[in-house]
Amino acid sequence: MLRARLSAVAIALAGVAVGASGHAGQSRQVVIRDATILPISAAPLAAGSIAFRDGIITEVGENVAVADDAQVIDGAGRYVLPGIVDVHSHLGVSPWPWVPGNSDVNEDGRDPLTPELKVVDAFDSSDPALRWVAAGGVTTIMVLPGSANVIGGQGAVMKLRLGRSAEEMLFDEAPRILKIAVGENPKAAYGGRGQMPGTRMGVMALLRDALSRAQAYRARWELWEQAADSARGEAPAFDPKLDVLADVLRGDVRVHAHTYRRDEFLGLLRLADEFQFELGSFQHAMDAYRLGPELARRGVGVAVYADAFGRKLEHWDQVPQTAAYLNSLGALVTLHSDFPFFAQRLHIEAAKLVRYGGISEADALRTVTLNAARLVGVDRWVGSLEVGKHADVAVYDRHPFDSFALVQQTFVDGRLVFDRQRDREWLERTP
Amino acid sequence: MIGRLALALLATGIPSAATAGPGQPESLVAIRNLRILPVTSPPIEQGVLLIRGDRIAAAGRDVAIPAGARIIDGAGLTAAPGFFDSYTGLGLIEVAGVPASNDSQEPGGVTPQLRAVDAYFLDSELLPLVRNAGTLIVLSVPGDRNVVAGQSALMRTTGATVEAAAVKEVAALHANLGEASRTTGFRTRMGAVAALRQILMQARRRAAASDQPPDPRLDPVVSALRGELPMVIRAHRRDDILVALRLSDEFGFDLVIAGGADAPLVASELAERDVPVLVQPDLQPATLETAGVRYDNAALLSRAGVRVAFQSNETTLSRQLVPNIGLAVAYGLPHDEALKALTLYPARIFGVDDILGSLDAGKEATFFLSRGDPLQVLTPIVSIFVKGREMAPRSYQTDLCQEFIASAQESIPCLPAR
Repeated sequence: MLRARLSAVAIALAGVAVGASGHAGQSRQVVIRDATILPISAAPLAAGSIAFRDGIITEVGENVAVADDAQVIDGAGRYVLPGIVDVHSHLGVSPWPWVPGNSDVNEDGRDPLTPELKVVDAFDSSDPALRWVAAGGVTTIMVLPGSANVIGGQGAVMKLRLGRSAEEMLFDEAPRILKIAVGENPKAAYGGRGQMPGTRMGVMALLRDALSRAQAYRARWELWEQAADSARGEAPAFDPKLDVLADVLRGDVRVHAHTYRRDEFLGLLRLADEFQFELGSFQHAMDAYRLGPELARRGVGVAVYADAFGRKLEHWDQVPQTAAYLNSLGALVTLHSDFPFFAQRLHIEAAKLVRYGGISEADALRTVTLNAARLVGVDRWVGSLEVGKHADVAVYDRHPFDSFALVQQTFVDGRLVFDRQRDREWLERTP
Repeated sequence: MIGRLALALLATGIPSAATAGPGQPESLVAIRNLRILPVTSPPIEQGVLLIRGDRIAAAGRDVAIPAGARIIDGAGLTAAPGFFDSYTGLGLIEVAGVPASNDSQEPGGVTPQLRAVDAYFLDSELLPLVRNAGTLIVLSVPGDRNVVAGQSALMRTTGATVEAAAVKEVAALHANLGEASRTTGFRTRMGAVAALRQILMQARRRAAASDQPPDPRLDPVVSALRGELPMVIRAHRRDDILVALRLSDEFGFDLVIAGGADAPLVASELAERDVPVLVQPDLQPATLETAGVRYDNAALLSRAGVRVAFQSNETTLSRQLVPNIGLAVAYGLPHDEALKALTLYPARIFGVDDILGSLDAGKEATFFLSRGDPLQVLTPIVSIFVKGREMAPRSYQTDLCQEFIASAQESIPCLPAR
């Protein structure tokens, strides 16, 4: 009943998932014609077209070949962009309605080190917020566990294939992900109970200890694997936590760190050097502007809010020019949502970079598309409108930086997952 | 960190009064070639805004500029009345997670005696930020949890003293229904409403009696019953809103609904009683009581004849109020109605439209200049006037930007160019 009420509202707000069953529109060519196309990877086309079939973009240009049976969409007055990639989402693991029974984002209170947790095991693919953000032009999300634990667990890259199961929504080609968190959140979750970590020293000590144990674990296993069959004794004991961390040390898992302060950035970079693991990004990264050249040099991804800040002391010194500045230094910068509302308005968040930081329109759009895809490790497949990439496409009724712009249609793998017109018709039929 | 906070505070400066002292001539400023949004009448192109002291002397196309006026060229700029954020924690909450800097949500459940003006933090670093976003007047609300939370203050976002910043030191009495009261000791809606009804009954008895000694707890409720103070009730679910309407009918106070996720479902009842709604444009259907909220709430209410004003119910995110209003417009609220819901309508709801809410001669010169439509996210706000005094759009964040970014990368603007 509650779910039904919420779903109805999510539809009213944002969009009914259409064509949820089957692969309607996939094998048939879809052409959006005479639209302003912003491919991100190339210059905008004032009156261009895009064609896709079987979930893949087949053509982008002034004129495209239209098959006899093609579904042709008139794009006059519309803006066509690649689907937005949100690099920090808790959708599905903190589903609406926010009641305690629905919260699966933080397994905190017992052990601050939980690399064995996987968000996909808790991902509610019926979360009404998924539809809501698809209506904001988002097509790919990196879902992360919360930040109460120092090692929170394994995230998942999901495509908004609405109506499908969590497994079916997984972005198969995406790299594995581990979320870690430093600073106030783990301190607050444990220090108050008289348990480590109660300080930033404790946070780093726990990380170093876990990685050291993972190093030894990995060495034990490698020794065993490399031993001749005759000399091979019993296999080392399997440890579900250290096994994940050993994969981190092997370079098989990308680490994304929730962190605000530059002293933490430097501490994490030291740790990455010491243990030779891949630091994919600093998430929230408030202080990035105080360490710009170093972050650009190291190539670590930087994910920030456009202008949100300040619930906590560690998030007070945010400036809305951060992304523009880091971008000017050649760093890999993205915006992120962290909340459903921002997720639905990431195109407006990107506009704020132009307003506050004077960044170019193209670079601002990149922070929520191609840069975000790179940070996640899926830029070969999504993040721009290029032939051969996934047909993840959003159609806006105004320029995406116009405050009054709304997404009219969202395609994921060429499948229409949101259509505002059908949405309206659905609403009008509803008392 | 705190050192940084203090430094930034010093850097933002302390405003001085714009009005001239005795014997000194009043300042005279003319902004010409300006697009003016008077709000009470259609936009004026190529207009002149004449400011004498802390008042608007004239706003129009054919305004003679007196000799001796300081002239500002407004080419490419738009003037709009200072925006109202009609429900915020600003002034009471600085860093929400640091108890020492958070003066919202006093425990107690029923606390009508609280006055936001008594804790309004004039040197809040958040006030310059919202000011720079065009929000020049805020309703500082003592809390959104207690069944009776206390008295809000209608405040300018700058001022030499709290009294000078205040538009109304006591603007409304606040109550909260629904899920909020659960955090203040009540287990059910019945319990919360019973507590509210009880204090209303006490106040009614008191109002009927004569020669009563002052009672700081009951007196504000008496004021509400006498119609001297509106009662803002935060309610989302349709039945919660109907409870507020019932109580208003029974006790005869002037009701304003805040939040109102389900308000469109009772729009005709609200319109019939002329109960305004303070709409939060970014409210999500994320909780059970807000499950019914829609982006077209403001449009639906406005169409049904319900008076609407916008609010953020935020502090650090208050500056996002205006970009978020884009949604209300995209979902059907006419642009000029959206503008009024930020200016004239809240001024009327809180009874200050004689001095604020539009750019008309005789009203207070509290407005801002933007380079384009002030409802558009891309539009920079280049200058702020409060009571006739011009302020640069600086904040601790622009200072941090100057210190760490502009010094390294000149091309990044920390302040919008005028």
